[in-house]
Amino acid sequence: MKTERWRRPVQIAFLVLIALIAVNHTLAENGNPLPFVPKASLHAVCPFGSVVTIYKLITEGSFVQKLHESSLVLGIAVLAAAVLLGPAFCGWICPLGTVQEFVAKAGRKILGKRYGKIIPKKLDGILRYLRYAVLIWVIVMTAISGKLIFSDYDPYYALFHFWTGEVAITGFIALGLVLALSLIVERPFCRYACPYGAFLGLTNLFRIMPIRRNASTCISCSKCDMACPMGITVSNQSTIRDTSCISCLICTSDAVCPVPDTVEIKVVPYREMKDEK
Amino acid sequence: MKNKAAFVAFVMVLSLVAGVGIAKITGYWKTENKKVPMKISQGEFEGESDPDDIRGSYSFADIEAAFGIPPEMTAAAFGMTGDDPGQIKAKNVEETWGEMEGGVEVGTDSVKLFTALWTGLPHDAEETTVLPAAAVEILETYQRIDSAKAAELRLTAVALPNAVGGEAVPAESDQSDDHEIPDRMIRGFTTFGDLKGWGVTEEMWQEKFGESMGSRSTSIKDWAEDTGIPMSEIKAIAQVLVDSGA
Ligand code: SF4
Ligand code: SF4
Repeated sequence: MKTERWRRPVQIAFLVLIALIAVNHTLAENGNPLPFVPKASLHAVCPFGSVVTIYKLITEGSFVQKLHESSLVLGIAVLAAAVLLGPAFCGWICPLGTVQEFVAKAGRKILGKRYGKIIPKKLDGILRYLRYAVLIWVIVMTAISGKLIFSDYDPYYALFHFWTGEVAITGFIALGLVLALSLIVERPFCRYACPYGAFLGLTNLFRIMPIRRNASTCISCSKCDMACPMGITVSNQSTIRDTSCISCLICTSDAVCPVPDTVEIKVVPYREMKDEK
Repeated sequence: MKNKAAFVAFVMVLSLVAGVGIAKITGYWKTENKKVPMKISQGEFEGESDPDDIRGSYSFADIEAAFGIPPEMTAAAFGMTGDDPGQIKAKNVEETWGEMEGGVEVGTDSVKLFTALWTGLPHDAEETTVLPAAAVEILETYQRIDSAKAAELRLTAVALPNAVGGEAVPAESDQSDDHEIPDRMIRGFTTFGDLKGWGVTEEMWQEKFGESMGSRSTSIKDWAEDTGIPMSEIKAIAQVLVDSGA
């Protein structure tokens, strides 16, 4: 798969980079930082910080505790890319997404064809709204408290800080749940709980380059539907505007779609946008 | 554009690299705090630095900048020693002492409490937060708290074992009464004889103050009056010398 030849190395590179930064932060605190690796904390290099600090930034011009200008810079860069490509950050960069995909491989081996089918479709559909509730809760509570309240429940924080003694028990529980659920369904945290995924997901509604399916060449084999890690039914839409899409390109003709130039990421001409279905 | 995957990879990496690059060039890339606590936003103390906002990453020098407490004083209060007390961080206190016997804790919140008591600013300490006995002694000696408050704090205060090189770990106190003031606490009536007995040498003293020690029977209070060096400075530095030489 052409897509995976590009996506995997990018995912692994960012996973390694984030792990190195996290470890180096601890080493730097103990006075032995690694050369050539940033000494920043993970909070400082998390683009989601730009979303949680938004209230404080607008009202006071400052950042929530532990966040810095760097979060805002990364947040703007990710958002700009998302306006063009949708939440490709989730599909290509986010290390927690990558880890969930790795665990999913084991889940597939164990469950075979039943993988991804254990949670009923209807329940899955309802649970997907949960991440918007989480997003609103995080923004409101952070605005009220002025503190990074989500880090106590954040599996990403737990994953990259488990050795520091700073992770709350709730964080470990969240991480354990995410890893366990990844054995039965792909990217459970991204689907149901991630507030940043929820935020970036909104760009699917207006992104310049969405995933498009050419109905006239589609042979309705449903391979795209079966492969989509976010459980989106691609085969009955011409333009994917589902807020769950993470721009992983797995459904495209460069990956699982067997017909050339049938599912692609491409620009929607403005005049076509209005009659998109 | 034939290879869409390469295009997405390129755009994602480029947007991050370009974002960071531009921010670095314009000086906007900051991954650390300015270490300035927030101001209290309302009430009687509006506009004052908020002790509640002291974070583990704040050094004693940062605390001095915001609240005017000499680093040597904070270091002495928390039994922390080192070449440069200004570099000791609030979280080092937590790492060195942390949870103590009886479920109480000497950590970052204790530093906030000490700062609040020193400055007279408000801070709601956690229920398990306590101060070292030395901190209570310093607060009382410098008349930052009255004797009633000191007595109240002493009920929960803990005597810390002597810290050496900032790396001491909490150990069972060998003092039978946890509320006793450590016997090597510097006070106005402490004499140079006491200091010498506790390991402070003429050389160490001269290095810090640029003046010779007084005679064995001279109290440091009298020496302060003679030399014009503020008593607060002498006490704090002498305490560090005693702790590091012990
Ligand atoms: S949805 Fe959240 S966890 Fe999943 S990839 Fe996106 S940012 Fe990462
Ligand atoms: S619709 Fe396609 S690009 Fe979007 S998440 Fe599913 S497989 Fe990935």
